[in-house]
Amino acid sequence: MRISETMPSQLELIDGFIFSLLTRISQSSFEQKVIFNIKLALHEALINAVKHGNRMEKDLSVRVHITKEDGLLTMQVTDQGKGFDFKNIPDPITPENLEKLNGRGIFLIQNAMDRVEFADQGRTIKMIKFL
Amino acid sequence: MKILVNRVDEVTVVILDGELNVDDSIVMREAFLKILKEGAKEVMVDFEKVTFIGSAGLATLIEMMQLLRKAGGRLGCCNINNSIRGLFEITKIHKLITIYENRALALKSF
Repeated sequence: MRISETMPSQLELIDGFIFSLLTRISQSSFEQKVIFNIKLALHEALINAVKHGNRMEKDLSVRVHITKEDGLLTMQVTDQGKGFDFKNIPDPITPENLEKLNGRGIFLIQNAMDRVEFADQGRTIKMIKFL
Repeated sequence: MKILVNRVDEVTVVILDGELNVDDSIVMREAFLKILKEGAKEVMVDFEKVTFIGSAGLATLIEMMQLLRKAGGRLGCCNINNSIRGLFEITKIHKLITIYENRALALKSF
């Protein structure tokens, strides 16, 4: 299975976009926990791409590429922003960060997926789940 | 998202029904701010019908906990499913907001 889709940088479109992607990815054989984690990873990656990557500039878009083959689900989300320093992401569970309102997205993705990689100076996040 | 607000003695019980995704986290935040404006101090959020929460929903809960704490009140959550409870635990939010097994136990403790 291969899916390639593009969405504009608008936060209000994310929920519907995820619903449409999940309908195509999900199978009844998936455990609820697996579906929850796939949804969480997409949710966080798309918010980051729209809000922090493209800074909600409507002229910029977010590209999503998903493949499912050989027991492996790979989801790649790419924005058109300036990228970010993915090697120095603050840890949201240290005492000084625990009450901060932002900064949990990538941490949640890393916990929901089996492998997470960044490319293109942080503009692309690749999220892998063993099915 | 459907949000139902009940008053049980001094406790304001907020019953959520739906997913705490991007849009509905904003809806929940607005509902919370309205409750705070009306003077609520002891707030219990019932998650029985919540099937999903992302970072935006978690942030809203932390913000509400901070506002209630500042007002001398507190925020608790109950009836959380295993997936959401897992998120509370890995993000250590369960150290900021007390989680109760069910509404009856929560109301007894408040």
